[in-house]
Parts: sequence; structure tokens; C-alpha cells
Amino acid sequence: MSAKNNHLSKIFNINGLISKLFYYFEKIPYKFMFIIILLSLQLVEWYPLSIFPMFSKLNGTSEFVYITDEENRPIALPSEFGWGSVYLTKYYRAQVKKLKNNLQDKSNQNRYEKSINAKAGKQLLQFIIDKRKPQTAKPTIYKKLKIWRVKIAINNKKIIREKQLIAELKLL
Amino acid sequence: MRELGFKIKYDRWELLLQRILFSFVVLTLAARQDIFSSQPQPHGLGLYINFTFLADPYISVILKVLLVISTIFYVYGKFMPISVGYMFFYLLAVGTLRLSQGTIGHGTHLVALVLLGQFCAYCYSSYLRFRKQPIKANSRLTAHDLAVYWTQQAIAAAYVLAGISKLNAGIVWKMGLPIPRWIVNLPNIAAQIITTHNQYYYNYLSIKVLEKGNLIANWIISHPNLTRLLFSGGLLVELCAFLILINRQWSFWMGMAMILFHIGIFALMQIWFNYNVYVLLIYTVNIPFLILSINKLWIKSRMRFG
Repeated sequence: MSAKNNHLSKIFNINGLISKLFYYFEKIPYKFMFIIILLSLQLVEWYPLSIFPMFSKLNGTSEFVYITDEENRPIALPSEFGWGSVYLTKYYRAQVKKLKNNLQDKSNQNRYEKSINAKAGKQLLQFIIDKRKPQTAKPTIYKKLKIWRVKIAINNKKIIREKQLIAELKLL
Repeated sequence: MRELGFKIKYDRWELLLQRILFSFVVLTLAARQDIFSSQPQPHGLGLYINFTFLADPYISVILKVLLVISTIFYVYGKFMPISVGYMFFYLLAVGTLRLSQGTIGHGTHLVALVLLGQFCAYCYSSYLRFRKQPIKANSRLTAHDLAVYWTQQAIAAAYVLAGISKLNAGIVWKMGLPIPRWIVNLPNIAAQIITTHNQYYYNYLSIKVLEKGNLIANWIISHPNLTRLLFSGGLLVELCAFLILINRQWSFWMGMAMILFHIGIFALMQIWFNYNVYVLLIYTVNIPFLILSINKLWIKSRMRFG
């Protein structure tokens, strides 16, 4: 080390400061837990790090999707297609988000909402057809599949349900 | 003052039982994971690595065989940085690929975090052994003890983070007291309860579940303050998860509280975090320790009474 640097480190006691910091760092219990928490708060969602935001937003609204056949009879999704309603709802929301992000004119998202929802719904129906992995030995052959979206809202202590047909897919 | 930190020496049979049970959890999870052939919305490490190679049938078989071999070495406690490392990176690859489909699910995060904790612990232990330093001065603590300690820290971190997420909604002042906004908004959870019960119905077409969901939701809306009181317990359990690190007794009772918390979530929301519960049973409630303790008591009583 040069004489100048040696002189500087003595004035500012850099080596002593680093040693002290290290000493106190060593004393902190549960360092690994704090590192995981700090990293997760920074990265938010980076598998397997996550802030685990399940049920953290309670704004009184929720939605889900379900699928029916041509006679509007509900279908037991895991049994017939191998995918559950929770996963399909998330998939649908992800497609809607992707389509909204791809819009050139983002300020007019409301104008295109109906067509975006319909497109996302059709993509979901195509997904479950392409990736069908039924758990039943004799999967049903459907003529048409329909995807419905239900919005739930709590308003003045009342539960309001709003059901809407999003898209259809003809199979036969 | 009670010593905090790394101090518990685990019995070797206890450690072996923990590794056996956890390896079952990892293999079961790996077997049930869907492997996708595209990454339409890359997530995490998927932004830099294309994990679709996992979908290749030959590569998939080789990777799964290697996973089984790693698990065997893991159970025997040999080549730990490599065996645990491989188990972690396999689950990381499969999990990242699944989350790169555009959907976020948190059912497998805890198992991967536990593997991350154990991988880091074994790597650190190997580094200390290379430097000819003990795991902890003046103790007989081993790398396996450190792995369990860091595993518990990973578990604590996950639950504390879930609690912090709920507090992120902010604070509301009621009667001069700061109340987390999440608690004030708790009656709104009725919307989520209706949703989750409907989702369960559309999976299994069980009318009873639908009726139960409506009943719970209506009760919550009619009893907002009682709802806040009861559900706040869950938030407290999450924020206090770090207490499992104090000693065995705290770990057991907090582990039981966390499992009860999950049972409550299933009863109210029809959502079951089975892998989380398995991990809690192995590393906090510590079923292996209970089995060994009962066995020791039984042997003692036989020796005493013949």
C-alpha cells in the first residue's frame, strides 16, 4: 500500500470500520431469514422468492371464470380437462393483461375491453383443448365450449354477482 | 439472556428421518409438476434462460433420473452441496417454467425456499471446512444442523413476508389507534370466499360447497368486527413465524399454530397448501423428533418395568 493510502486509511480508520461492521454483522441472529426477506421485498416475484401477496388486497371485489358445454351445463374441469378453475382464472387474467399491454393505444383500453376479454376467453378455451389431460377414463366429447366470467362485489353489506358470457368455441 | 441463533444439536436419526420425509415431498412435488414447451411470459430466471429444454422427452427422463439419484445421496447425507444443489435447481427450473406461462401460484415456493436454504447452508459449511474452521466455535454442531437451522429461517421468512404484504396496505386511524388497513377491510374477504368456493364447485360440482361458501360470506358481512377479531389471529401467526427459531418448544407450538392457520384457510377458503403443511410438520412441529422421543420413552419404560 502506498504511503499516501496508508496515511488516509489511518485518518479515516477504514480497516477498523470494516472490522467493526463485520463484528456487528456476525452478531445479528437469523441473518439468512433477513436476507431472504430483503431480497424478496426487492424482487417481489422471482421464483422461489416472493412477497406472498395472497389475500393481501381486500377491496371487496373478485372474479372467476368457469366453462360450460353447449347446453350451459357446468363442466368438472380437472376431471374432463386436467386444469382447475383457479389456474384457468389466473390464465385468463394473464391473457387479458398481455393483450392490454400489447395495445398500441393504451389510453383507450376501456374501448377495447369487450374484444380483449373475448380474445382472452377464446385463447383460454383453445389452451384447454390443446393441453387437454383428462383424469377420467372416458372424457366427454363436447360440441361447443363456453367460457363465463363472474364478478363478485360487496356493496352495502350485499353480495352482487355479475355473470357474463365471454367467448365460445365450436368443436364439432 | 437466552442465547439466540444457531445452537440446536439434532440427533443423527432425527436428521436422517427429516431428510427421508423431505425427499418424499420433493419427489412428489417434482412428479406432479406440469412441464410446458414454451415460455410465453418469462418469469424470474426465465428472462435469461429458456427452460423449455425440460420438455424434451429424453432430457426430461435423464433429469428425472438424476433427481432420484441426487435424492438418494441427499438422504444418505453425501455430497450435499451437489445433491441438494441439483434438487434445488431442478425445482427452480420446473417452477420458473410453470410461472412463465403467465400465471402466478404459490403452492410450491416454500419447498424451493427450503432447498435454497439447505443448499446455501451446505455450501457455507463446505467453505468453512475448506478453511479448516468449525461450523460454530466450541460446539459439536455439524453441517446438517446448520441446514436445518437455515431451513427454519427460510420457513420463517416466507410467512413473515406474507404478513408484511398484508401490512403494505397501510394504516388507518380508528379511535386514536393505528389499525392496519387490511384488518379494517377484512369483511371484504367475503368476496374472495364466494370466489374460492365457486371455483371449488366448478372443479367438483359439489352444491354443498357452494352453500357453505354463501353461508360463511353472509356471516362475515353480518359480523364485521367479530370477523376482524378472528382473522387477525392469522396475521399475527404469520408475523410471529420467526419465533420458531428460538428453540424446540417455540418451534413446535408455532408450527402447530401455522398448521392450524392452514386448516382454517382450507375450512374458509377451500384452498389447501399441502406442501407447506408437510414442510411445517417435518421442520417445525418436527415429527421425526416426536417419533424418536416416543421411541426412547417406550424403550425406557420397558427397561424399567420389564
